[in-house]
Amino acid sequence: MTTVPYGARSSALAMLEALAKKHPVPLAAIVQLTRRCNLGCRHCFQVERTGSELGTDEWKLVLRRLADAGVLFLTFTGGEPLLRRDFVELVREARALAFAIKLKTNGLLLDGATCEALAAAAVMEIHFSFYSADAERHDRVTGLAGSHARTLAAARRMRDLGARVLLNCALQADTFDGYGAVIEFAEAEAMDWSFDPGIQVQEDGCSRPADHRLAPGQLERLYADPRLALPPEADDVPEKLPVPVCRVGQAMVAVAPNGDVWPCLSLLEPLGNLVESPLERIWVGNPRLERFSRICWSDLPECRGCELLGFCVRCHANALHEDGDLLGPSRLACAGARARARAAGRLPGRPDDSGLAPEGESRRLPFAGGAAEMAGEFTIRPRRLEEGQR
Amino acid sequence: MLTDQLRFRRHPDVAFRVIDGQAVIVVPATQSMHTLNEVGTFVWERCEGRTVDEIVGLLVEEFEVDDATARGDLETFARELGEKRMLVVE
Repeated sequence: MTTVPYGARSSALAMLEALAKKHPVPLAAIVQLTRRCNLGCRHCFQVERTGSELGTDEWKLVLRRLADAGVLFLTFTGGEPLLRRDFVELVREARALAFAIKLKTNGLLLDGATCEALAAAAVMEIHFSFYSADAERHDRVTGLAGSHARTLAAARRMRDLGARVLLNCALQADTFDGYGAVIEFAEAEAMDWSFDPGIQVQEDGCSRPADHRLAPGQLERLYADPRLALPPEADDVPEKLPVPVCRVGQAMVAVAPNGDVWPCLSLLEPLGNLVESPLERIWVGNPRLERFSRICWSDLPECRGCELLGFCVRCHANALHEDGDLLGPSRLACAGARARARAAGRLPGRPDDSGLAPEGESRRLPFAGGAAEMAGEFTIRPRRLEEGQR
Repeated sequence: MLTDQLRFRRHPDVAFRVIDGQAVIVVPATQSMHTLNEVGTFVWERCEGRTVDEIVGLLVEEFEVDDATARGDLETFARELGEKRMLVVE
């Protein structure tokens, strides 16, 4: 037997991407069980907090259909997914269907019994919304006094039960100077960390969340920090132009609380409903999906000639919601590209902290802490019949 | 040494799918991901609840391999997957 280990996370991801190309639907799904939430975070992009939700049996049908379609990685999110009274039952169903399960939560409802149930269901990763190592600052973002302590207690409980815990920090202008403390705090707690510097506007275009975006100088400092291991060089523009802008349609299926399938959690374009149809029938060749998935950098009329194109990472949904044009420039992406170019020493001058709009960037930074994923291959020796010999 | 009547069971914690004829297995406890080749996938898809004898029989029927070789290779395969918390033999 030969085992070929791959020590780097990038190799595992490369292997997954190669497999995904052979598969008609994405290998990952993010399931928004509810839009209800028990926090009122000041930067939240979700507007509608109510709306219809599937019942338990309908959710089980949806999970079965995702599994039947070959989806392997399943993320439960919300709102706050633990507000569903059947949450543990749905996690157990996901385990029975052999998904690799992840959870995004604020942890406020993760009591001891629920933590035990999640550990028993082998939940692979739990991402906690975490805004600062400083309790007062965290609670200011969530709007709930004591939320920091409750989130942290749940995170520690899951860590102690052997789960991989990640503190996911949406960085904001007035919490930015504590991001180094978040890294130190997480590492001292044997947890992973990640930062998202791109506060998106609300789904209805309301720009209130953008008030909390990082200033350009803060973004630049972030991109220059070697702990975040961001690629220092720009993409090759001629190679980039014919490539799709984002991996919508390839990377992940998003499922709404009513069973609708969306291209992603920010592009709320219903493609079909998983209670009514199998995923393959909804997904494969869907023209509403291809409207987004086929957009290449060369299709962006104002952006394709931009000198910062090599540094640009763009979210169509935010361009649409904030700037009103799916194919037009996105101030969020422009700010990120400028900051990355400056951090790489490719754009002279000082950051313009008095810019017209508070700016951020939509790309989720790769997390640098914790164990890397591994991929391996087994070879056993029985010699199968060659073609034609059976 | 595997006894003939031992039974295989996939570890209850693993996540897996067979994609384009290739088993992809995720082990949450070790945050690791593994793929099996065609023969490994053949065994993986048929192992649940089956005895060593039964799987050896399937291998001999499907592949050009004698009983002793199949048994030896299955033992190595089962040991490695067991060590990586992918398979339980009981």
